[in-house]
Amino acid sequence: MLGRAVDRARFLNAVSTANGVTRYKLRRLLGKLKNGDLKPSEKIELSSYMMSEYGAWVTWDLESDGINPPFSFLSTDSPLQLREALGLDINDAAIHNLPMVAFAYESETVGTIHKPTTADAASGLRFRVRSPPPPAERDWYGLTVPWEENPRATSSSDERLFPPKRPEALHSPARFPVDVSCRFYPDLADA
Amino acid sequence: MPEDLGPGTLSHLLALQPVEIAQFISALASEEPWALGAIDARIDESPFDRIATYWVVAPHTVRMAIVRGLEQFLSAIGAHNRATLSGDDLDQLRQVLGFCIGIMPDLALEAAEPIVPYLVQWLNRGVQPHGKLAATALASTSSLEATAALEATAQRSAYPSWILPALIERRANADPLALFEFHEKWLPAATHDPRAFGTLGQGIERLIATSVGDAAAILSGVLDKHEGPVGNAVRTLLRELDLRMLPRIRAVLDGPVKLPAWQLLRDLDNIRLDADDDEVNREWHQVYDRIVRASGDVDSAWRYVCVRSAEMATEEIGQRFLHTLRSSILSSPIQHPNFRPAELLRRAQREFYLAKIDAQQGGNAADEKVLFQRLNGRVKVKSTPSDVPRELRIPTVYYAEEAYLEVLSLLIRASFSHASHFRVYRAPHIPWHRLLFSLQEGHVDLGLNNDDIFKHESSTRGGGIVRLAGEPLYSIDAFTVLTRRRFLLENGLDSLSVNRAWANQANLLAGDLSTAHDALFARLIEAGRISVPGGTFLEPAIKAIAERHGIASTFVSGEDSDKGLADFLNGDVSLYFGGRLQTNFVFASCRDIVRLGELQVPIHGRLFATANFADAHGQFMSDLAAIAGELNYALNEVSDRSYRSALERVLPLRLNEAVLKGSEEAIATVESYRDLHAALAQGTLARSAKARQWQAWEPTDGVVPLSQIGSASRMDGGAA
Repeated sequence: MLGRAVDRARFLNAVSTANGVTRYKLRRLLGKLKNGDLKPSEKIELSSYMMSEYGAWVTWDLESDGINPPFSFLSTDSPLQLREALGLDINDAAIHNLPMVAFAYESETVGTIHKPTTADAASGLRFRVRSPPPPAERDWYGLTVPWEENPRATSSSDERLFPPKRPEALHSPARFPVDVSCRFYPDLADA
Repeated sequence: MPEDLGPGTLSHLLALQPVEIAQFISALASEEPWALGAIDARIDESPFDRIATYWVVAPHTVRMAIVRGLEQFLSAIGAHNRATLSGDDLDQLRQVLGFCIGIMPDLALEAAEPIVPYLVQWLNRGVQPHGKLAATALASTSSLEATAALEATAQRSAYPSWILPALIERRANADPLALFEFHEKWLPAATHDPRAFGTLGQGIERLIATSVGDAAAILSGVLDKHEGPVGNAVRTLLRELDLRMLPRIRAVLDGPVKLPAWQLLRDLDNIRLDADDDEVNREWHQVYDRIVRASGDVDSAWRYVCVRSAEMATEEIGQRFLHTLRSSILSSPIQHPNFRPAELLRRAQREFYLAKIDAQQGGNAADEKVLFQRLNGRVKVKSTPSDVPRELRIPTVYYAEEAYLEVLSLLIRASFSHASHFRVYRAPHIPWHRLLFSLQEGHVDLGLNNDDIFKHESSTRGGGIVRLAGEPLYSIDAFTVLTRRRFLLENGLDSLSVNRAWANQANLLAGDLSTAHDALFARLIEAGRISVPGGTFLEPAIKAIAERHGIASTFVSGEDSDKGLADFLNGDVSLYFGGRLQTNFVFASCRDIVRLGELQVPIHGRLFATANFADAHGQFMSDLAAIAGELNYALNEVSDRSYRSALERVLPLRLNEAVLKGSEEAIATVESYRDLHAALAQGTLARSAKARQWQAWEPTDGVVPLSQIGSASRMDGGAA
């Protein structure tokens, strides 16, 4: 079971651009997807849309080898906590707690899973070269770089441990899988 | 150019002056390196994905600056010919159009206006996916120009599939009633495109939410036009909806009718029930006549009327709907050979009343509580709780007497409220003439009937019955014979007299029909047959007249009351002689009814009970005798306004409930308390509250063989 977490506004823009679908309709579909209320025609409609235009970053639950839900490690529905764990943008207070949307789907539905490269990470990401290299059996995926230096994480009022590194990989652009489920962070009524 | 901006957060950039923000956005759209560098843009995302995040928190002035930046970019790129646009240009444009989709819903009309012309431009330039993205962005604004452009482009380009999701969504949001306009041109394509199809489903939800009636009419029209896969696809969408509360939509789904259903549904909705009677009747006539004349499938078409009736049950004007429907059906000269007027009426009113009964259960209970409280303690009963039986079973009847029995039940329950184990059970569908049998077989404990109760039983045996002696509970002296004016004129009766009687609603023939005008009456029976409640004492009274004048008994149609009533309403018999409710119903329902005259057949209604029950519950029965004396008080003498209002609501509802739940063939004869009161006023309810006694009862008139009074199998008739 793979998990993909994306800033909501960014995701809506990307999917609208890739598919030509209104924000209203997309939010409606995601809201119903979250609640398990999609009608058959809506499921078919959603699965006709590209979920991403470019490669999609995904994570999973390493301990259970992807059996458990990918975001079950989260203790709250805070989007900031999710961003911290996945090493997503949090260096701008204006947006670091904006809503996230997270999907979970079977890995078989999106084809090959690729190990991220420097090119995938690009200059803006918190890319780190790990040393020493991981053993061969664990060298097919990357690890996120959580925001351990994030001041919030070291605040005396915040007793949380640093989020552990999460496995990360990429898959090719894909349509919404038929078995996809989603959650909102925070848990809003709709997307 | 602000080349010294350097990498930084977008918050920093968007804090610049509006002019600079606009310049930055325009440059970002054009993917100028300084702008991309300023936001540290990744190669695997659109720079506008990031702008979208900041848009969420951007203040109004920043948003307007972003829009101006987009406008500058769109203006510049729009000036190019298709041939001069590079792949990069088109990709930049694609990103901007995609971004416009997301921001349009947040823009006030005047703020969106500068962008709309550019969106329209790309909608029409024949470049994809830009045209589709522009269409989607236009569908995201409420600008009239945007709507008009979508419609015009769709029509001009013969509804290409790429525009359909946007067009359908725009219609659903702007004017759901226009959702299916020109559907024959685009619906087949929409059913093959999952995006258009899904959008259509959401549009149908909007349409139904806007107006169930219009939605039903529109959907019927669509389904009438599209058979096969396209129609089935629309039905699939309808089945996905929660239609439990939408019977009219469900009716659309249930099957096609050959009559254009949309026309019928629209007509039904458009009947102006607030117009004067003649106008409403005229409109109803048109609907009814169209169904019967034009439809090869009255059965299906009538389902719509029934569904509409059920819906109207809870509306204030619902009773008028039913009343005018009834009047139009029964006065229309158009008749379908298989679907007779009475049957069509019965089906519609059954849906109406059953829905009304369901809807009013709560109010009914509250009304009953008002009645109960007022009657509680009216009679000082001597029975201790141990004297009171667990249950008293009383039959329901299809006549005005049901009002007496209902009020009597209330009185009994109120009087024995100290016995918490006690209940009154109203046994359904015990025919009037079967009371004696039902008492003797132990099906009921108590019943109301007239003294000739034995006349209707072929296997009558004496004994085992007690009767409440003394003054009868109620008396009726005479019953009216009705006929149609046309029938009288066709049979040579003086037109002046007939028309005067018709206009004044007066008896045409004065005095007792059985003596003063029996020859004429017999001649009319021979000319047109007469319907009488089979199995009641009214039947032999008529047969005796016929026999006296040598007319075969086959001219006297002794049927159970609902069948007899239907026969007359359908025109199968020309004369009607029935119970008070049924007679009043005929008179109120048909326009050309004349009161031929009255037949003096006095009846005296009394309470009967089984001797075993009476013996087992002596004190209870003694109290019951006193309670029966309060019937007139409970029905007529309590002037308290809340009590009267409650009574006037409860009684018609209960009477219809007893009738409709007792038999699927019954026609409900009471529209309002006024109808019931008019029927009850034709009899006399005992005013005395004098204590009566239960006495053993034996028949005094002897047994009349059933062969002389009608078919036992059809006897469901009553006396009044």
